[in-house]
Amino acid sequence: MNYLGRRLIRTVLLLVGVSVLCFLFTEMAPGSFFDDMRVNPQISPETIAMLRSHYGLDQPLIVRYGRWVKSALHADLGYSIAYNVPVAPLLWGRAQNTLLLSVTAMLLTWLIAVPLGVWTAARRGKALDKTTSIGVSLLVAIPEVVIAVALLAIAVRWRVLPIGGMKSEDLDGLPLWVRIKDIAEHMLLPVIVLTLVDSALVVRHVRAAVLEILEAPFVQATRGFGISRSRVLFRHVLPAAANPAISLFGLSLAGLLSGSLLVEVICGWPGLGPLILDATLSRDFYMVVGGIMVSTIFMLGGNLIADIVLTVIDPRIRTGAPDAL
Amino acid sequence: MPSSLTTDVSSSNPLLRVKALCKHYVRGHVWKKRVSIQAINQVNFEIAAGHTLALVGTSGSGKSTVARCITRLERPETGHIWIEGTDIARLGSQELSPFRRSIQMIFQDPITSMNPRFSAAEVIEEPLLIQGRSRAERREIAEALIQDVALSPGWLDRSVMEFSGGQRQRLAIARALTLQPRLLVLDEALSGLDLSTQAQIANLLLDLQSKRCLTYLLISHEMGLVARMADTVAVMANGQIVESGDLEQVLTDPQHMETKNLLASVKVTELKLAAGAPS
Repeated sequence: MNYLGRRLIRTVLLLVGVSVLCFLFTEMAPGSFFDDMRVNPQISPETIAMLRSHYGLDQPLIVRYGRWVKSALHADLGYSIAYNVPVAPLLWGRAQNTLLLSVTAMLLTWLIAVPLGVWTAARRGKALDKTTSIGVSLLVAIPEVVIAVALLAIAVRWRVLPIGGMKSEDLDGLPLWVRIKDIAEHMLLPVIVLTLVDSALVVRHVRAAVLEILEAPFVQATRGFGISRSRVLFRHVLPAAANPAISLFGLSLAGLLSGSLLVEVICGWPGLGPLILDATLSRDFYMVVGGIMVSTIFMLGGNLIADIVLTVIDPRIRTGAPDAL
Repeated sequence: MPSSLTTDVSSSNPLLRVKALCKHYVRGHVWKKRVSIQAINQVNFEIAAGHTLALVGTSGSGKSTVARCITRLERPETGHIWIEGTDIARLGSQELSPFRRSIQMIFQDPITSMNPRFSAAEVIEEPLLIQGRSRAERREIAEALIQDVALSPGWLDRSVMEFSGGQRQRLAIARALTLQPRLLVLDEALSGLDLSTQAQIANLLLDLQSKRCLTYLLISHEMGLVARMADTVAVMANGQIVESGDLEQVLTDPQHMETKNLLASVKVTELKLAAGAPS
């Protein structure tokens, strides 16, 4: 079986494994959605038992899992107890907001970080490299929560950006570009936080990959022919350094849904973050499972795309050569 | 002519002449004191055109640093490197460009010394790109060169990954010959190969030397190979040349302890056999 076929089978098996563990751990977590109702004297235990039966929570775990898998194959991820609506449409609506935020941040991250990583590697030890290294180390060391709160505090103090939400309330009837500008202003703060945090990691990886290749004997040999520095960089170094960068890009794709959850909660962006947090706190079983599964699908999909790209650009992976980097 | 270009007026007119070459590296860390390590110190030697000088010594003696300075992959702090009468030790990258083709290096590891994404043709033809040769011309030269190193022209379109270690070293030799160099620096170029392949490549190098009047700087710690290929020998220890002379003189009457230690690791009969002398 070829490389991609094996990866595809592994992806499906991983998805099954994650869904089993997800069901198991969510079930093992203490408490349930109906615990708050139990302390309310106006709600009888019979009513609670009836509600549990209505949502199928009285069934053994294996039966619930079997039913869930059967419906999930038809894009039905169950029913939210807290919102009283099907999980899938609710998740999809919020996932679109999260994707808008995280795709924008990811594009900005890679547009800034890749040239910066290559540039600093090509000027190793110079002032630009040292300054960038200090900045990157600070950004890696400081938790994104702190950066988000700090930028939020600045935005509130100076009133430079709208805080919270995705759009202003009184926009109906205004031209399209005004509405787009309004959304852009609302998303600027979380996008800056995500871009800063992710860029630090990408710059560091790209710089390390380029430095390693610059020291490789085949690059040294090429320099010995008197070939121009730019040709050495673009023809030899960048394609060779692309492998770790593409793997990292796969992880970026994988983190599109899950990477911004915390920042969304802090900045008040109506994406999956606040939804999954609320669902977890209220033990909304199928919403939690659905949220985790959608994030997992994105993660495995991102990795699969990275594998496909690597297979296309690097013949050593296709042939299974032992010296494939 | 830039002021840094000086002309050697040596009467013997060697192809390569190295005088008082020094190179040090600085090692240190943010929290550690920077330490200067003298890799090579006051190295002097010369090689006549068409001859082979073997630079021998144990690991860390500075042989490879000399090779990297001569090919100008490293810039020496002081000293002179005259190649065909021009001192290239201090030239900038622009001034150095015309001299690069005269000196080519063959690295120890044939697997990592060529881009694994390239085909054999791309590896051999790449040096010709800077000369602006046409595609047809490049192909013609590559076909001739791959035959010179005893590989089939039909393999030119194969990926370099499909070649064995010995075949890749032949490709590396073909690539080095593309620019028609006068001097080949063989930096432990035969060390990673099995004995049979090593002997075949050594024969190939000797054939190419006689056909193309090539000059070799052979860097090695294997005295058997040195005995087979070299005309003169220079022994390095702690960054300096401690003994030098004709091959036979160094092999039969070693003066320095370092040379004696190197020779002690090889049977004299093997050396004589390798050198082609009657045992």
